[in-house]
Amino acid sequence: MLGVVLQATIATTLFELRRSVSGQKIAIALVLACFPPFIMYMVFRTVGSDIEVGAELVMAVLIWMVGLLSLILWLPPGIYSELEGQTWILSTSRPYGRVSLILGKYFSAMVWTLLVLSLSYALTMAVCLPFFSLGEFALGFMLVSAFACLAYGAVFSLLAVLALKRAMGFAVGYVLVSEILLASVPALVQKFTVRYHLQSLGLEHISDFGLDRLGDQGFVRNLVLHEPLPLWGNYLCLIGGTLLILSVCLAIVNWRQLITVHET
Amino acid sequence: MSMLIDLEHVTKLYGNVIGLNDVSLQLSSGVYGLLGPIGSGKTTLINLIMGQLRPSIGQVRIMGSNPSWSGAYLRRIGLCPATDVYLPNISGLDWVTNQICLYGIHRREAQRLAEQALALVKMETACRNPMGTYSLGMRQRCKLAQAIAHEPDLLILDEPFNGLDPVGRIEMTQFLRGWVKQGRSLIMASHILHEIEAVECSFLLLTGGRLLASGTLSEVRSLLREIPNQVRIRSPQYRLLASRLMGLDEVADLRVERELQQLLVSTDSPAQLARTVAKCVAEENIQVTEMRSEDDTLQSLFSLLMQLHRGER
Repeated sequence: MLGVVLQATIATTLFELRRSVSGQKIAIALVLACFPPFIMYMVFRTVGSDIEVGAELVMAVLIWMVGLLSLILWLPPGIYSELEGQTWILSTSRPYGRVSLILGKYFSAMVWTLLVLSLSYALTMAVCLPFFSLGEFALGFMLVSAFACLAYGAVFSLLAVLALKRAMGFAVGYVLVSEILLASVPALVQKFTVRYHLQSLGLEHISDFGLDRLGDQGFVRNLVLHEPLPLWGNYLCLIGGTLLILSVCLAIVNWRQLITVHET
Repeated sequence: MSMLIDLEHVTKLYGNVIGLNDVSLQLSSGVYGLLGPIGSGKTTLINLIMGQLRPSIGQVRIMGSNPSWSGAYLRRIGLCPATDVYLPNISGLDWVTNQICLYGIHRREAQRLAEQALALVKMETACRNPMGTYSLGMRQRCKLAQAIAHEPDLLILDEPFNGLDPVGRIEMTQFLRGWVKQGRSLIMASHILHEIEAVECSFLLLTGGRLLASGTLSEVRSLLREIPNQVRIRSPQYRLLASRLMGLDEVADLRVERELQQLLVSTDSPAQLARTVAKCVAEENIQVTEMRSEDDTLQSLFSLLMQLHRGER
């Protein structure tokens, strides 16, 4: 069974990638990828290399935003349009068609988002080179980006199968409430957000983001990371949470009786 | 013969709307035409068979499995749905190959099966072009190809003649006859009787979510013969023809439309009326340019069945 699911998922992912290549999508990807280097260039041009917070922090926030935007733009619409679309009945007529379709959409959105983030990071490094070298953070950034894509992708997939055509709105709401508001509250609730764990990985694998230059280090650190977990705890939360959310998502898709918009 | 489909008092509700109403059905291997007007529950029945929907009441068993819990039986079924598939930048071959890969078949083998199936539906030359360049009929053939490529035991077709040109219809009919000759099972849903007639099969007549009747072609034909019908006869000698038809038992009502040079005849026995008109043409040399039934015969059949069902006839 696992072999069949794996093979079908790989086939669907590759098919979705081929299917999703279009001029419009490439143009959107380029605009998204150019956003962080453009902002970074403007920042450096205005304040020079004497930036108060770390350049890597500004870059991390920008790339985090681009990653979220990319996933929100491509994953929920990709999933719900399929669930209510023409070919859903064909997917359900395959033994593991529903599972492989959702996973295929999930992984193809991952690939697109990671491509955008890689390009964005490369362009940002090129733009910042006269002022600041960001090359040493490359591996850390890619690692954290990959975990961000996996975790946020799972959350947005779940929202897509729950809310269908309202999924994009729910995804934006989730980011605002959970990832911006709750993740900034120095309390236990912070640990239930994805950003909390990504920040922990970032502090470990990228840099301290210039937090020590912000004055009261204890206060700021507490605001960013309330009662830090050990590193393995963050990995466990991100991987376990992703697997759990994806499992719930697949269970819902398997159980839900969806009627395509073409049926009467 | 093994039992393919077993429905026990199945009702499917969409909120307050009844999709299927207390349908019990046992089908063994064979060829079946699922006949009913648009919205009669044909697609709902197919979706229940495929496990996409679960019954609100009753039990469904397909090839011995409960579709809600086991999808293994789906390997033995090929489905060609009514909905159109339009993926503009993907070739037919790529799409069909991917559909076969979803069964867990390796890509190379899937591509071989896809090419074979596309050749069977006469798409071998166009299958490498993007689907955006295909006509509706070509996309219909691709849908059929993905349904037959893995060589299923049971083929389910929902409105398979949609979008096909006359040549395509003939080819589709020939293909289906060939399929049946191989001893494989077929369920074909349509709202047009003559499409299903083309493939000799047993009929399942659905309307309003109810299974009204089932039977062979001759049984359905005998029912149709008894349906009150309105027949339009166009003739330059319409007055003479009217005088001949007036007073005959099979003519319940007759109206003359002078401007159109035609008669509108209500009859309880269309077959007898046809024989009478033929006799007039042969014996009295009355020229008839057109003779056709005004009613949609299938709709009339369902009205008759509903009346029989309610005990009104």
